[in-house]
Amino acid sequence: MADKPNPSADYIQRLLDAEEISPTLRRSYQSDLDAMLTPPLTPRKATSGVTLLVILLVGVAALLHNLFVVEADPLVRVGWLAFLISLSGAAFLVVRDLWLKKHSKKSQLAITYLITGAAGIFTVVAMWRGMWEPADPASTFRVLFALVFYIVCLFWSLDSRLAAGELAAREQMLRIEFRLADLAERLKV
Amino acid sequence: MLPDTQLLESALLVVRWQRGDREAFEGIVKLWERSLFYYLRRLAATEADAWELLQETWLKTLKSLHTLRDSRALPAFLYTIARNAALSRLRSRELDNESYPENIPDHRADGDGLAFDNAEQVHHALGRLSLPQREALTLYFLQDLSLDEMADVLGVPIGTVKSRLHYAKLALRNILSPGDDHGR
Repeated sequence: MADKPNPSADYIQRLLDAEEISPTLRRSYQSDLDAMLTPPLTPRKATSGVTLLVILLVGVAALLHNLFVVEADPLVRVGWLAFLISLSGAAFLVVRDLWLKKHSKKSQLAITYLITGAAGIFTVVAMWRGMWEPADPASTFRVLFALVFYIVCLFWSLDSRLAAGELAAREQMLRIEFRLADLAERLKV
Repeated sequence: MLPDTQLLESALLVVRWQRGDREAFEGIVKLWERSLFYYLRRLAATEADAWELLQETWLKTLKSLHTLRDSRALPAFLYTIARNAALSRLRSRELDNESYPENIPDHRADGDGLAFDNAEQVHHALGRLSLPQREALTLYFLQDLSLDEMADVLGVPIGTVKSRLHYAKLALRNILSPGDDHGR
């Protein structure tokens, strides 16, 4: 027998091929695995999704009420409308995930963007109105409230963006490294 | 060690999964299923047990993959999960009970060592080794882990891994070539 300092890929393959596998057990494992890879939504995640949905729907109902019943400046209506659109979009994403029984990171990210965007518009509207009513303490309070809400949303959104950005950068780096390694292997061959 | 492309491919799949691409996990399964099954089959009493352990490994991986910061550490991560699943099934801690003298030279590094050309014979002979030796040698043959990673997965110092490998190779040689102490 010859010395073999390191098992080659071919050797490993032969070793793996030497393993006798029962087709019945393999099929049973595969069907269990397929079921596992499309897992149902866990009750915990479903509960948090439903809670978020209820909050969003209450917000949508309140905004619809404001838009159709309450008298307000056109600018304020623009703010409400922006909020209504983003909350409806977020509610749609939550309903879609619940319907498909999955928890999607992309939806989660999109919801943070939608709500932060709406909070930004709301803040601009509040500030714009406050500029024309500097003597009204209520307008200052509205600006402060909108600003705090916007900052909270901004942190939430930034956190999600940073995490997503870091992973995206890592993926790109790995893709480049993979191509280089693949090229190096081809050149060796 | 693994070829760079395979290691990078699996690291890429981990990052894609962490970014929300659910299909990437299927890629991870395809890439690692055979090696993990081979490893688990060496630890399990029956084939059915090995399949169950493999499924358990994937389930635990699915639950904890988001915690993996260094995606290149996936092989060690998977083998650790697989080993823990197998350990929890073993009634006695057979895997940890054998001890060997440490400070054995690294046979992988100095090129001395394996004389096991016939993979099929080696495959059958592995089954006749003690569990700790079989485990260490299986990991060695599969070449998915470095010695450091093997030490991490096995939960022993690197010196123990080297000595375990050394004695496992001697034992395997004795099985393959009885009467020839060193297989030469």
